[in-house]
Amino acid sequence: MNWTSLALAFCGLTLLALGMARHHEQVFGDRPALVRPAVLAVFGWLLLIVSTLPPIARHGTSIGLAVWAGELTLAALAVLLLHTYAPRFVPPLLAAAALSVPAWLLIAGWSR
Amino acid sequence: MNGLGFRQANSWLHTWSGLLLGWLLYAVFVTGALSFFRDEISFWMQPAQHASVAHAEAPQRAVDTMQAMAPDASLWSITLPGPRNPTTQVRWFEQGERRSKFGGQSAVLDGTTAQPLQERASRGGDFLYRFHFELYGMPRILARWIVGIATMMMLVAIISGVITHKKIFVDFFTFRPRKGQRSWMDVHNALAVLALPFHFMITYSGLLLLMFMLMPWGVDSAYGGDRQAFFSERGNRTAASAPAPAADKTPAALTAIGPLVRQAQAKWPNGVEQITVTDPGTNLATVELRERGAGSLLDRGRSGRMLFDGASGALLESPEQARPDAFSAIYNVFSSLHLLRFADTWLRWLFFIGGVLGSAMVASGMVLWVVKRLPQRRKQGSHLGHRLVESLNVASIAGLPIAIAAYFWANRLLPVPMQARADWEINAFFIAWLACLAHACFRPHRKAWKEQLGALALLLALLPLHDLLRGGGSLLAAVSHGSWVAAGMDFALLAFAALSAAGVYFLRPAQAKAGKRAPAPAEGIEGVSP
Repeated sequence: MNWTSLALAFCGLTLLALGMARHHEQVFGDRPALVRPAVLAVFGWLLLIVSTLPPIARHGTSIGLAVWAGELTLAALAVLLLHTYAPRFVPPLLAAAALSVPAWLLIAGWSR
Repeated sequence: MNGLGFRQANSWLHTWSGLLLGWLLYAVFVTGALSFFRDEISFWMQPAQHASVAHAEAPQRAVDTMQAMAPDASLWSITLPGPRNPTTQVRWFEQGERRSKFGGQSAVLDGTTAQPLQERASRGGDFLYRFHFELYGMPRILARWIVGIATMMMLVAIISGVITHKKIFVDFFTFRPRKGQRSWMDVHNALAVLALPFHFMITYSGLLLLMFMLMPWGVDSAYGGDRQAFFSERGNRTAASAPAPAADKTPAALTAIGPLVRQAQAKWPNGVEQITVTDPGTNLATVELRERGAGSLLDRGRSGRMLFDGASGALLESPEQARPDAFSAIYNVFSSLHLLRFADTWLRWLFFIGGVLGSAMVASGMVLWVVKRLPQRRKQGSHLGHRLVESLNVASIAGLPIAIAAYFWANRLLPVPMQARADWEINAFFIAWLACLAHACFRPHRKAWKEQLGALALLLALLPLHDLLRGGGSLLAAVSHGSWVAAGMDFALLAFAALSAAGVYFLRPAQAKAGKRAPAPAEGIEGVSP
């Protein structure tokens, strides 16, 4: 299991979702967006690309990409369920997932 | 079809290709998802073996057992305990016997003591695996054609579905619960789009795998009809080695296996999977060790091998692995991705979840067909075709899992010494499925859903309980000796029981619902939405 990759994919997809008008409204109501949707989308895609690196480093390119696609699906499922049933928790969980990545890397080490 | 726009045409194609083949595709998806855990299911269906635990001395002890059990055999094949099965599986061939994959004699040994364990006659996970692409009770080739055509239509349905529901990329993470038809639409879209890479990959690779069987003409013309040559070139398979001439064989003791295995383990991170000993007990004996799993999809099945002299224990040769050419590499990537032979537990679970999402996507599409036509049926009265789709939906979506549960129950309840026992496990599967079809035809639609999902929840939840009451049980084995293979299966059964129970909960009458939540004009499975 690659926690870093799951967390990065979750963050990336959440940013992508917040860049879409409908999902931004689910989370923030009618408050104006702090960051422009285009910027969110760029960072979202960037994080998705970065999230491929841990499984590739661990399993090699071919298996790594298969693992990544599966983890992407899991992360997307989590984003969907959160936006539907607990949109209030999107910002705190986004922050927690983002912080967990460096924390995990510090504890587990990049070595493997 | 004149007068229909491009999107309407796609919508029409998606609706009807999906409906006609949906039930078959659902069965293929469900049994396919379970096939990712084929070995684990087979192991779970041998409860007498659940207490086995892998031990570091397993290789030497297995060889000792073989020396006692089959001292004069021409070949021993020993599959060591691994993460997917904690027993040792052995197979041996008598002198002069033809060496084939399933020939000879076989036994299952305890992973620690290497004593033979009792086996019950059962097809285990292999039945579900075969059903996935060959169905049952019909000529293999015909069945593969049917599944192949369904796979082709699945690819068509995926592509036409993306065109039909092009809004899925705008409302990417949208799910609006308790809104009747809209909710079913959202479920169908979300399940499709969230796992789209998986759906596309698994369908395309499945098609590729069947292609060599369904359309062999290209290969036949290139290889002059010698298809075996093509496959051996692809898979780098060596022809079964001919037994050595019996001329100058003299008795000789076999070297200790432990040091050879340790030597190999130092080189291979995943360890040794299989030991093959030829001409054991003679001076011509050889010991071949095979690596467990390969590190890349590009070289499917080309795991490392080490060959030792059986008498002296000297390393004979370790042929360098050739790099596969580009065509082989592509074929290998897709076929291995589909068969998942290489995968670790985490990837296996990810793919299993992908398969479950795929099954649910197909199922939600078929429910959507019914829900969409419900207002019209209410206005115009019932219609035989509509009723048929309703019944078939219940009998496949809920009935197939019930049939699988019945298969597992038959495995536990049929007496071990029974004649044709393995066949009766399969008969139980089909009898239960037929009963579900009859039940779905004769009960009102909503009641049929509720009763079948309730029965499924009970059947699944009671299986681990039955094992626990019958002494031992995998959960106990897991806690006492840390063997989690069978326990994982029990947890999965409980999880799916909970899912079916949740289905029953969502199907409760509207009045009961209104008391708990704000009343919603629900229109799902006749008045209910997920």
